[in-house]
Amino acid sequence: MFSGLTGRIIITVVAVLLCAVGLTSLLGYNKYKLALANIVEGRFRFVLGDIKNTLDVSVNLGVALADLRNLQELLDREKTADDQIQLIEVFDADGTVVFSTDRSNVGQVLPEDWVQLAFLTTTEAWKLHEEDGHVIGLTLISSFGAPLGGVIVSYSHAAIDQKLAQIGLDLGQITVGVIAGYGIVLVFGLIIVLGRPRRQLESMRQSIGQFLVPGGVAVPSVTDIDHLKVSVKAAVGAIDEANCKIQEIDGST
Amino acid sequence: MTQFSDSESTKGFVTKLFVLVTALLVLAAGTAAFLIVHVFDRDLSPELDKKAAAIGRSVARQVAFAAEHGIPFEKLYGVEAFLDQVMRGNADIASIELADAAGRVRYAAGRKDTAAVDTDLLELPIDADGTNIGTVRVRISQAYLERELSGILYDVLIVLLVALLIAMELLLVVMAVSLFKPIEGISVVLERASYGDFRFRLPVDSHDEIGRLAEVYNSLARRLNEMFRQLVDDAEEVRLGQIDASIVRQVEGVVSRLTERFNFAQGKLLETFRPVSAHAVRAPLFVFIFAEEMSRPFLPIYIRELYTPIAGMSMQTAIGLPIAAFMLTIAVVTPIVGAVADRYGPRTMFLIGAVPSIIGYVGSAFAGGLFDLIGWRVLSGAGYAIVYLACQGYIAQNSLPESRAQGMAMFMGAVFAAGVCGPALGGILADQIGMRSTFVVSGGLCVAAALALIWLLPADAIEPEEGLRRVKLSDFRVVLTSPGFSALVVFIAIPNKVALTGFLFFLAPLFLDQLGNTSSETGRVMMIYGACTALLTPLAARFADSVRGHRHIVTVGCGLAGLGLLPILLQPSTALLVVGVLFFGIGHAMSIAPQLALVPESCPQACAELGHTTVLGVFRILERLGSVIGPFVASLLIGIGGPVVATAGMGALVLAGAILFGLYHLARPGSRAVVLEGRSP
Repeated sequence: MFSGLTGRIIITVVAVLLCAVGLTSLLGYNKYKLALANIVEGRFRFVLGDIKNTLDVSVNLGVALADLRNLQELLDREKTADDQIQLIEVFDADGTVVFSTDRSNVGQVLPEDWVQLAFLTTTEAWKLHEEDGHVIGLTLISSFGAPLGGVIVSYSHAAIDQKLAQIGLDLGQITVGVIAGYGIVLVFGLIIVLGRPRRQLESMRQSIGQFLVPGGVAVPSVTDIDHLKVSVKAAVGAIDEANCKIQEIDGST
Repeated sequence: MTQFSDSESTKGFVTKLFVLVTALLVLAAGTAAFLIVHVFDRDLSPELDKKAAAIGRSVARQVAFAAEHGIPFEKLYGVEAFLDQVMRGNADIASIELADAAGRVRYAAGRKDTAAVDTDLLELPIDADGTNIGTVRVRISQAYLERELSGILYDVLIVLLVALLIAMELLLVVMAVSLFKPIEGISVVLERASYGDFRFRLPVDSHDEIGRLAEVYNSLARRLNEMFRQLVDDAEEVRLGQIDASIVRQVEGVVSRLTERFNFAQGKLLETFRPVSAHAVRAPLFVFIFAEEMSRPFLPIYIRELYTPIAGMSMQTAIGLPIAAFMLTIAVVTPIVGAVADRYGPRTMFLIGAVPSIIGYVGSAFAGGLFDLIGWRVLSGAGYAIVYLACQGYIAQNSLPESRAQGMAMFMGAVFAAGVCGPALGGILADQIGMRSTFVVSGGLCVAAALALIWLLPADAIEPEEGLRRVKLSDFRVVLTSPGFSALVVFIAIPNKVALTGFLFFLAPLFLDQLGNTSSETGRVMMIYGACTALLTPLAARFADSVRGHRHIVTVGCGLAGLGLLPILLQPSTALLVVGVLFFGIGHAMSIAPQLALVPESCPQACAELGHTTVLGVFRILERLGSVIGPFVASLLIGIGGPVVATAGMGALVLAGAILFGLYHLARPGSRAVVLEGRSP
């Protein structure tokens, strides 16, 4: 069925259907990925900004970072409230961790590139992609404009990846379902639409084929090829007549 | 000839086929979009809830902190300002309310109609010293989610439109190659046979209904030719055995009477009749132009990213360089290639042109700086000019003079269709996979176009040896002595091309980017121009022909195109820029075909001397000058007054041209329109 004209048209149209629905799903997936990343990042940026605001109030009152009471409790509470948060840390101007949701990190120095980025980007949040998660941070600036340290929130991308895998699966199912469903309807529709021209071509073939009936020129009664019928009949007649004439000439000598 | 090849029957069948395919593609993409949006809504809402919870916790903590320091809940100071500040940074939150322990709302920020059903509510208790003192209510904005989802819907609509146009192009090609072209061959061969010409056989390229029909006809023709050859052999045998000259003459007379009435093959082989189809180049051309159009919405942004300061040159001028270099290459390469195109034929020329294009796109993707990019764009421009000429030449060579306008309309149809979908899909891809990757996709599409051409236009396809006369330098002198032609070029053609490249290709993407639009959105705006030209150009051409008012339509069209760009002076906004592109598109759609019709009308003497085609060639080259200088004019205007002044300046230039053109013709009332047949595309 798929080797003929109908097959070629069906393959073309189904291929276009596949591309259209596939591209729709692919673009949808990418859009979802961006939207999800924006929403998730927005949440952690809010948490980050909230902690920074709390720190700013105390710092502007002249309290040293290390002397902030209740800060550890706030960090722990925020981490407990959101299972995607891996780590929240506050560091001083040297990059030394002064508060952390992971107590063992207190006193350690943050990686060099984090500290450099933190003190280069002082007006807005900075972001890093690490192997096991994302890190976003804000720099603390004193009322005299000097960098005092900063706060970071590290969150896992495992949950995002899991969600993306699930959505990928869902979109895959939608794509296959839609293509299969509409593909079947399309195939049947095309077979019906293409039926008439196919029958006409077949009728023409049979009509011409009847000229080839052994022993004669059985002329079909198909009006479409009337002229051809007359012409072939005349040609066959003329050749037969010429044959007779030649045999006649040959016989007479 | 046959009932099937009857045009009414074919039209009905093709209409049914296209309606079926369109309806099912729309339904399929619509269903997919609906289901995808439903899934996204289901999955994104919990994420927004989590953010709302984080905001609620923060607010509750601040209020509890105040309460723990002895400030009563109802006497908190500056709460609404604080809530407003929280709201400002979080567009996904519709409102935040603080209610006391009795449930009365004491403080609120955000939308006042938050009781509306389009919001999700999240409530968190406020506890101070172990006692509940109130509740924080955070409402999530469904409008925000809808905005996110509407982006997906727009993308789906664009993909659907692109898929439909591609489906139509592919169907046209499949139908042309598999059905129309063979049917045309069958019709011609059967018609010749019906007049007694049995020299031809039909090509059997497939084993479908048409292939089988061709096989059957070939058997019939072969049998008749065998019968004839047998007769000739018998006659020859009889003739050779005779010494009587009168009998020899009798035998020869029998055969010659037969050959006077009928034509049979001279040798043993029948000649294969293979008709050419103008559609053979339509799909490859569509894909090729599509590849170029994809970069329209982001090219100036891409150039800006590669820009490093150059002494003595503003950034705007530098951004204009690759665009102008592309246009200049087309203008220079076109007449050079035109002179040699006929020697190699359209197929070879297309394939030759595809090579620099592919290299140009891939090179553009990996360009390290502005000058690299200029070099790659020059290559792409050269390829573009060669391919464009090859396809135009193929149509001209393989269509009769009386159907050449239809052939050119089909050619322009492919260009317009690519202009509609290319920018839109290019914008989406640039947003999602990046600008460099989109250039790689363009290169891949050029490869696909070349492969499609190899498949659709076999090397043995009939290619006439003699081509059209090419433009010479002396032709410019002859044509430019006509004041009507000069007025058309100076007031209409050049200003409009300046505005097309200066505004649409250069300024609009930069301006839209500055107004905060993504590449997808820029692509959608630029698609408006393509859609206007694709939909309205044929209608405008028909209308102008019917009212015999090409000059007036050109004047009004260009006036509209220019006027539409002026309202941006009121306020620099995306909406007014969209209006500008829309008017620009409508105006150009109105004036493109009538402009071409005006060319022979404006210089009848030059047409008589050089021919219409040469005069049109001169016109094309001159208007391309406008394309080259367009980006520089735009960058100059940006330097003077920014993008608003540049946009309005482009509009003013086109409008002034239209007014001067109108005044010129008012001052020459004797120059009545002479309607020439068959010149509008």
